[in-house]
Amino acid sequence: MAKYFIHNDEQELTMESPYHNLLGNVPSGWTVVDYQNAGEQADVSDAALAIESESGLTITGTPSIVVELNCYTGIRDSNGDPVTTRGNKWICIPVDPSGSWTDITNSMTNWVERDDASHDALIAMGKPE
Amino acid sequence: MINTFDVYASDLQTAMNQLKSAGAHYYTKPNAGHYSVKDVEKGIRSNEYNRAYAPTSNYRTQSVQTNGQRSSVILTGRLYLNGNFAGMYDYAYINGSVSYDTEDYPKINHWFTDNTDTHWALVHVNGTLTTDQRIVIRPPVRKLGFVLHTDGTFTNNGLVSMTGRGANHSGTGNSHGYTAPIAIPVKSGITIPAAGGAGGARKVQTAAGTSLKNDGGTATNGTGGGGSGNCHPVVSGTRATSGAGAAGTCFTSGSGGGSIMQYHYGTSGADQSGNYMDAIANGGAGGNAVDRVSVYGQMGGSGNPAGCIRGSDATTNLNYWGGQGANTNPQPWHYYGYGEDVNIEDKRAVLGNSYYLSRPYSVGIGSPDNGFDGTAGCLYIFVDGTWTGTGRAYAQGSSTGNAHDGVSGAGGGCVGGGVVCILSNSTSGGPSSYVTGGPVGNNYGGGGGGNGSAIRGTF
Repeated sequence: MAKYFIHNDEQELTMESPYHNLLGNVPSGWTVVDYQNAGEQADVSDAALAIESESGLTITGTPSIVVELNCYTGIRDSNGDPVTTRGNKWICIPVDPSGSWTDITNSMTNWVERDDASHDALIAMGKPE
Repeated sequence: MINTFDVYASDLQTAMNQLKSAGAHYYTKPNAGHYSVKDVEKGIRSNEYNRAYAPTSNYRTQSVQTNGQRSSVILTGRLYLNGNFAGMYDYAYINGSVSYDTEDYPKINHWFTDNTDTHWALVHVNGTLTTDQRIVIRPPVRKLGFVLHTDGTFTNNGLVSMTGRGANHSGTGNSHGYTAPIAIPVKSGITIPAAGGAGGARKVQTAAGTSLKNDGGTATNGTGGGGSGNCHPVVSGTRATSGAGAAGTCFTSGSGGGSIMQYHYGTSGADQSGNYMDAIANGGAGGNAVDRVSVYGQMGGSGNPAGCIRGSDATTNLNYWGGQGANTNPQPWHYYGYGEDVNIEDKRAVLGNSYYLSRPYSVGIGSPDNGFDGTAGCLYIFVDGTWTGTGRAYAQGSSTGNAHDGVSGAGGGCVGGGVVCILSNSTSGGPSSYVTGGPVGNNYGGGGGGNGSAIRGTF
């Protein structure tokens, strides 16, 4: 699955300790994309627009990652029974520029955990009386 | 006495240079202008006559600040850019180089007035400016824009922010007055468009099962639009519609629309009579949640102020979460992260309260009482020298609540990102700008806010 790291040349991304030089230590499998075109106009680059087109979502900021995560596909089916099936879905997650690549990987896990917990909480709220 | 001085300039950079000259004049001649005897008498009685209002340099050594009513703000008036009325302004003039450390933090509020929504905050430091790590420079109230102009190197090791300070210039609700959006010419080649990114359109669903929303849009050099509310028809019904987000403007990012999450949704939502689920334009209120109760909570969009919440029981108070079914008690927000950035959170808690003082995970800083009020504003940093340091410049949009915030249901639309425009002697380097729109958070959140614009140019 494609994994995109979107940035706007934030200075922290190339700084060493206490930062983590994220752009200098990109793990394999990630595609790095500059969000804005160079120059005085803050317009979105063609590469970023292509990612938005591929994923069907809006890149809401930088730095961020655009990845496919495996999430529940809904809360309840047409019978009112809990949905337990999962599917891949494109997600844009903001990245803390002070963090490490490990933190970025963990943010993907955390996102799914939060989404699962939300799903479970909504199921637990039951049905109308 | 604060002098009145209307500014007519071709662009914002020229306006700041004009004000710099005017500021130096009025700083040394605090009583310049035409006054009636009554005005002079009033000034003397209030200890405002014959006082230089601007500090000379550091507050610590500021003997002129120790008597009477003191403020750095010495000018006010109307601001015209390229022949168009851009709003009112207040101008602070600080004569000399300034260095702030942590202990100086509250005193920066001397730079600002409490004129809300109708005024720009324009600040000039007639020298260099150095801020330490814990310094946060942010107007205390919503402004049409904030320009920080230094006459030398600005070493920013702290934060300069317009997060949560975008103006509600709609003239409605809690707005302090209407100002028409216009294109803001910053300098030759850089213009902030009157209209920012589009708001996320109402999301309409006729089939049950999925949680969908529309994100806010972007605009070159503009603010981001607000996202629509989450639309989640759960099991059975005909048609569900969430509220639309609002477009950004030259003075603020867009607010978010209200959400709908219904087990039996019938025909309900933003397109039905009696619902006010769309966000108000020009930085106004976020859209309300749908007017029908549900098993689930449903949240209004973020904005000025955030839209009303609809809980899961018949309580008529729209800001009450209600019974939340059989398992969840009504409760205030869960508090998570800390810091300026919504992405900096206390990772020790996935759900529930964290152990330390903090704020709701999803909300942007600057909102009153950590609620979901506030839109991102426009921050201009003009440095006649080098822009350097390890700090940051912010104008970020806030999200809305999610289940991990104690919101058991659908999230309203998020707020778009603002504008950070930095002009210095280089078009790169120095503290970074963050103009992220409100993040979605999880699959049951509202539409994301459109990203704002981070602009770099030469002064």
